Amino acid sequence: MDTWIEETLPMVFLAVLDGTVTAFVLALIALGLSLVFGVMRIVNVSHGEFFMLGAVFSWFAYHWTADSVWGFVLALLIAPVIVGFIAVFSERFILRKVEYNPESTIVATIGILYIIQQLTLMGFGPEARPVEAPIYFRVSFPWFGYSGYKLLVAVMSGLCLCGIWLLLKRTKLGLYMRATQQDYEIATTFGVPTKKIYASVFALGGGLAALAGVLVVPIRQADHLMGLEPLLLSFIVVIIGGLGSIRGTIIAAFLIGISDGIISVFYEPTLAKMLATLFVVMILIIKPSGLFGENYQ
Amino acid sequence: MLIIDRISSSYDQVRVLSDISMNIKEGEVLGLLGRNGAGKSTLLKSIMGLIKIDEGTIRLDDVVLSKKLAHEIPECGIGYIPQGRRLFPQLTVEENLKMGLYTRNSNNDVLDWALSLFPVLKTRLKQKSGTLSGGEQQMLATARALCLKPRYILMDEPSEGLMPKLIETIFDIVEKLKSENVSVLLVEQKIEGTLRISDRIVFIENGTLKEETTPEQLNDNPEPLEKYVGVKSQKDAGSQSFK
Ligand SMILES: Nc1ncnc2c1ncn2[C@@H]1O[C@H](COP(=O)(O)OP(=O)(O)OP(=O)(O)O)[C@@H](O)[C@H]1O
Ligand SMILES: [Mg+2]
Repeated sequence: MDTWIEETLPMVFLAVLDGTVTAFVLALIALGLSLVFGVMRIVNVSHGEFFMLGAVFSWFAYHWTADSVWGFVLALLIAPVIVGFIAVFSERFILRKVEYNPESTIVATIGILYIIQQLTLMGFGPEARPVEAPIYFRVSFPWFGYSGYKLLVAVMSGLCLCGIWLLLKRTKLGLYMRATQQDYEIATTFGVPTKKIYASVFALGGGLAALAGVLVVPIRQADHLMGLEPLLLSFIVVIIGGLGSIRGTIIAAFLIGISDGIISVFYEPTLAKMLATLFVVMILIIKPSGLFGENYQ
Repeated sequence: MLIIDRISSSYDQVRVLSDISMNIKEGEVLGLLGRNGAGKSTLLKSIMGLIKIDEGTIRLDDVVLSKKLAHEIPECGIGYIPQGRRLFPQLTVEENLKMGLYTRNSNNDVLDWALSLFPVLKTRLKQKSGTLSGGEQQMLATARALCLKPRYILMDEPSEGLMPKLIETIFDIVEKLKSENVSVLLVEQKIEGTLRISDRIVFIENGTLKEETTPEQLNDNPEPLEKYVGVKSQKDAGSQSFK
């Protein structure tokens, strides 16, 4: 019995640690998706591609600078901005053209997904490419050492989440975003340029995904298909958390991230994804608005 | 002067307003009456730019409002209290008021003034507006619009669902606004009160302007009241509204 605990406890600890890191990154990606859905009422199927672009830019930055630290810093600063511009561009010339119609935007964002994916394939190639982490150190726990960079990823994601929270709750732009989410028509009658708010929300969503891509790429590699998994996971998170609810999104990210960590360590990753999907189905049946869904209007 | 010049509006090809002209002078209360579905709310939405007008123009003095983008119209000093309150339910009372303050960069004196009209809101600043009582919500919707320090204010049934005492408060505020030279376009079902505080009355039916008159004229000849809103006289209107 004692040896069983001695063997299991470190595993649980590792699983929770891994799960927490996943959860922070997932929260960042899913928050972008959730904001876009909440404010603009569109399902952005190309959200994962913004994540992938962040990772790919990170690889380019790493190669141009030939230095893992400077490459990382450069990618961290530039990738969200470039991706933000790409998002604004697609908002302006595609989503606005279909008047944000729910069905049309799904088709349109699938189109954006393929365009981004194929362009990346042409410019970056089909193979997965590694990016070196900017720092190497191991944090030692009683039973094992743990990647310091992973912890840094969790901390930086956490800081970003706080930043977004402050933006939404403490700034005029944030107030305008929330007001537009709740009643865009009435928001206009208080002088809110809702089209510009839409564009900023889309850019913010894309930028967050790109940032997550930059943070994650040293842990895994960059390839043109890497956007799919985070897209699916963030859909799961957003549905469980409640469409458009920020608090719900973050709580659900932790629920999914940590349970994913635990199930993956003790059983296997596929089972974790299956259970998550099953959970989504249950939520959709029992409480379609999600755990923290806020019903506006 | 707010000039509505021969406008027509429609929802998805269906014509709802046709060839409507009226104007609202500075410091005047204009009562707009008509049956359910006559197009009163549609007219207000057209002024706010929420629906594009098909024909005609809307001007504020020399500025052509109907050429502006919807979000630029409130910046000209036009406040709007929509039918059914339409607060931002997840925002706090304070945040709802801020939406009004930001529109024309009003300072805190404006906020104090708006709150002095509805002292009860002062104690509820941090509460989510969706959890306010119906009456409190209506007060907030009014205060929110006042926070943009409007020169013209469009009120769509501000007394809907309020108890008689609060209805009086709303009418008192309209009179107060008038005394501060704010113009009011008032859509109401409470006919007696509307006749009491309005300088002029217009009737619309099926999206067209039928009659333009004054409360005094209606006192002498209440026929349009019966024809367009189905009440026999001002006295009748009174009993109807305070039932
Ligand atoms: N969004 C819409 N789409 C289509 N038709 C609409 C829409 N809104 C209103 N209408 C129609 O336009 C007409 C005028 O509606 P409006 O809301 O302006 O009436 P109203 O005079 O404000 O009525 P009430 O006193 O009931 O508020 C009605 O026939 C209504 O059915
Ligand atoms: Mg109406």
